[in-house]
Amino acid sequence: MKQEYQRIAIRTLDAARVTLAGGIHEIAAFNCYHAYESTASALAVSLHSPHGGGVHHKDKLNIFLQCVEQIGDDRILHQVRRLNGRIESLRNKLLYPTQVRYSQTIVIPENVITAQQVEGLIQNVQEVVNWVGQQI
Amino acid sequence: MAIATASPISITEIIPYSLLKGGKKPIFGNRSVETLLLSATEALQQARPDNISLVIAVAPGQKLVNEPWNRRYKPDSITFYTFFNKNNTFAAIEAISDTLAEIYGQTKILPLTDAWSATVMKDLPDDWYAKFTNSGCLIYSE
Repeated sequence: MKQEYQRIAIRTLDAARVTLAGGIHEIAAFNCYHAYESTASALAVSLHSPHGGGVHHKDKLNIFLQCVEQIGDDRILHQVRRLNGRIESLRNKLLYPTQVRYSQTIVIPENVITAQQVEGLIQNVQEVVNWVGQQI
Repeated sequence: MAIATASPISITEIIPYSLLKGGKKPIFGNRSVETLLLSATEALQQARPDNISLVIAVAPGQKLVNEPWNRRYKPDSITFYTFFNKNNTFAAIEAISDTLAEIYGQTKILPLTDAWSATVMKDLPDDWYAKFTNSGCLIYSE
């Protein structure tokens, strides 16, 4: 199961690059989220921790942090602490428009993040996916 | 509390708790929550991110009690409502996540960011005002 999760992570990150190149950067960002959660599940499986669809998104990320702490790689640990907050805060904003009541303001996913920021996000997630690949 | 107009009322005037000067400080019931919020205030004041004007933490389960920060339970996350002046939502999310990364590692409470442009602050919906007036804790103001 861990290799299957990891394969999903790698392919979804590939999809992020293709989607970004195609000019739909907000979907590329959503793919980053899914790749990150998939690689988190791969590590969780290898360390016999809860994983998959039955685990709430926030719990998956906290479990991932615990797993990385268990392995103890300071460089990746810092990256995971940063990315957990970014990924979970970003996820819902990439799905639907949000209207602020009593206002004309509507926030749409493509305005939440820039293509340049998505490029950086892909690189950060790739680093974590590569690291997990070496651990499982 | 419903404020259905584009009122000029400052949000900082309706926040019941503040970790900044001049406000009522909460009495924290959980040590990890206290560590997260006090450290977050300190970290933000040191970092002074140039695109963030105001950060308000909202207690989970804020509808249930009048003194939500007194509760002993440890939430798995706390949302930081963040108002930014320029750039986009992700820039604010990135700034908060990076600033609070080490504190998250220490407390294991995931700091989430709900980021909005400062220009829409005065147009906030009434349920936001309810959240803030029930359990908002002001942790940073530029």
